[in-house]
Amino acid sequence: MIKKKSKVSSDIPTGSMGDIVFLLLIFFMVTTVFNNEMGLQIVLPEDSQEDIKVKSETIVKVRIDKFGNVKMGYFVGDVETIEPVEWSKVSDKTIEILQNDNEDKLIFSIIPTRLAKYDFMVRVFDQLKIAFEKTGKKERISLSPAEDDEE
Amino acid sequence: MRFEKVETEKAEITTASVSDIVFLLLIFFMVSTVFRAEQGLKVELPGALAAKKISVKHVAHVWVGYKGDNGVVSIDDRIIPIGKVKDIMQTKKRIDPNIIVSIMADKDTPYWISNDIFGQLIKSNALRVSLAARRISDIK
Repeated sequence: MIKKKSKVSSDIPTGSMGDIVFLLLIFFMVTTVFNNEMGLQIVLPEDSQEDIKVKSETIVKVRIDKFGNVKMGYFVGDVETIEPVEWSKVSDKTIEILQNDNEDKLIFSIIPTRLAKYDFMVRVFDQLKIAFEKTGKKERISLSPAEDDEE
Repeated sequence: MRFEKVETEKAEITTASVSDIVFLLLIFFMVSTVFRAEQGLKVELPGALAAKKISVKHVAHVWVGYKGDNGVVSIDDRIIPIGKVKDIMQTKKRIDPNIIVSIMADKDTPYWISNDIFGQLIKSNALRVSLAARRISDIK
């Protein structure tokens, strides 16, 4: 009796494995190079001996304390209003203030306390940036020297 | 009685091990790319919605962390006192006038440390700064 041997092999072909892993290799190399550098850009003021005088009415003070509470102080007419703002609402508030600023002269000044976390500052800065992006106005954000914490 | 043919030799080179070799290559490249980069400090970057890519060409990294009440600053994998940042950045600024200083600060660092670094950067006239952040798509 002649047995007919089945010619279909039960092995999974491994010949193309190399190609697949090569693709993986290339994928990893490409992604690691491109994903790295993300950041919020800011241009620091130049070091000058004289202080530049700005009218206090044109400054919106964004204070951050060590617990992450945010207070925004701005002028309506001649009266300075200081109100606490939830950090995630800072961009909404900023847009509101920007829309009332017809002369485009407001400067937003972030003033964290010494012990405020860097994270809070970045979040607020981020919110301000988004607000400026949304309104399409030129960014005027400054980082102020740290204030002392209230005890 | 049946006779079986015992030896079946093929004149082929096995390709099954190619994948192993390339896997090794893959691992080698992944490991070596990690080691070539500046190691810096172990930091957890803050997240930001508006984070943008910065051109890697002109970047100088400043790693900022903290230990207890003190700031820890690392540039080019050397721990340096905050007061020295100015000198180092001045040198880097001279070599590349378009330098962007990327502040890689841990999110829990107290602000005064980064504030001091900004002061140093202003003195060294390296004014283009990027606050390194992870890009997030939603705020919690």
